Amino acid sequence: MRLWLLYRRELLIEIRSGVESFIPIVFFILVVGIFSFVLNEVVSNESKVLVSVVWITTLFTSILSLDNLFKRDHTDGTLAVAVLHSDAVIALVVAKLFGHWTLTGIPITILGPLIGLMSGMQFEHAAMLGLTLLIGTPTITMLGALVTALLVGLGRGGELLTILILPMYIPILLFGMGVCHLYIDSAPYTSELLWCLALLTGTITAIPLALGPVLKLSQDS
Amino acid sequence: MTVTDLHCQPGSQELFNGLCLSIVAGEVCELRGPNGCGKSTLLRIMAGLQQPDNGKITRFIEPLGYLGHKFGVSSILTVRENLQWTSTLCGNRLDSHRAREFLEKFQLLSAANKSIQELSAGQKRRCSVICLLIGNYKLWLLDEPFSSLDSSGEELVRELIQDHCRNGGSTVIASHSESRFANANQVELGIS
Repeated sequence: MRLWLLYRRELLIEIRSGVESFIPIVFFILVVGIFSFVLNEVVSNESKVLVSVVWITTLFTSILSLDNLFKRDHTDGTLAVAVLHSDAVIALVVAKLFGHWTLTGIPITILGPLIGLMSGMQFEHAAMLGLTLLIGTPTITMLGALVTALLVGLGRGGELLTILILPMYIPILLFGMGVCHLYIDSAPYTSELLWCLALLTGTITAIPLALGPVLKLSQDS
Repeated sequence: MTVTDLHCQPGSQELFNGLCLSIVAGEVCELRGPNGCGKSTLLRIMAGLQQPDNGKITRFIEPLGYLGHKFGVSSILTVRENLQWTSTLCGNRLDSHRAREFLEKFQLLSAANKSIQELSAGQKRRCSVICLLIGNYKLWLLDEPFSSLDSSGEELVRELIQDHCRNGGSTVIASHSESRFANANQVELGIS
């Protein structure tokens, strides 16, 4: 019940923020759309190109959206109040991460394959892209949240976030994209897929637990 | 709560060295001193939001009710939603009768469904005090709680602090207000 109420709060805040919350998704649609339009011939013959474009754009979209993850609560002082409730902070963090994934990860997981299909990608390739995004986007949210939490107290997330976060995204980018490429080439992809799942399991288990202390620490700056 | 041998020196200026303090149930502790003497820093250290350079803080009660310079309420949510959020954080359901009672007392009932960003600074401060009350915290750490409040608001908050301490709660308050609490433990901080 507590988790649901906290999750509802996150969604309310995002929805009431209006355009600001939806800019990352508009950015995703524009970038992937422009690539598939400009490179129409290449994309329709070679699904791998569009898969790479979708995955790389997902990373940049995530950076755009993560900047606000804790900033708003830090600015109005609710983050400081929240971290003092050590028994509630994990629920709060999980609600925040799930809220972020709902509004960024889920649309990307749906829109990526959809744009692929519209650009002439085969259905099974688009389905595999969707599956890897379904595994990859929560991992990206988790990793990004950790860096965002570390930077929130410094008040200069934007520029540092990009530099610090991108190297952390490389493993999930390589495995996620790798699964799709191998699948398109009809090569075995189980190992890469298992690595994606391992990254998801690791981050989803450890990062919500780590975020409470990290957020408390970030108040001290 | 006990504070033992606290040392804090952010940058070149030493704020306090060897500070010891003990807060017991039913006590009001007023932190006094000029701007920059470390009142807010001490409150943040006591709350656990900042680490001292040295010393030990023992908290016998958690969570603490902390009211800082920021209002601690989400500006995009309504007054009622913020009260709901505080209850959720504390693991309770919002007692709507109690919430209504506080909203009436603080003259915020008509603004209960307005978002915080539509309210004046004084009303925001009133809302953050209600959140403090909704949270049922035993120990309140209040940093300039009277700022932005009119005289009636200040009087109301003073009464609440006294009631809270009469009922076994404790309050540490940093304030520049001229009037002081009767029987309060006065702690004078100064720039060394």
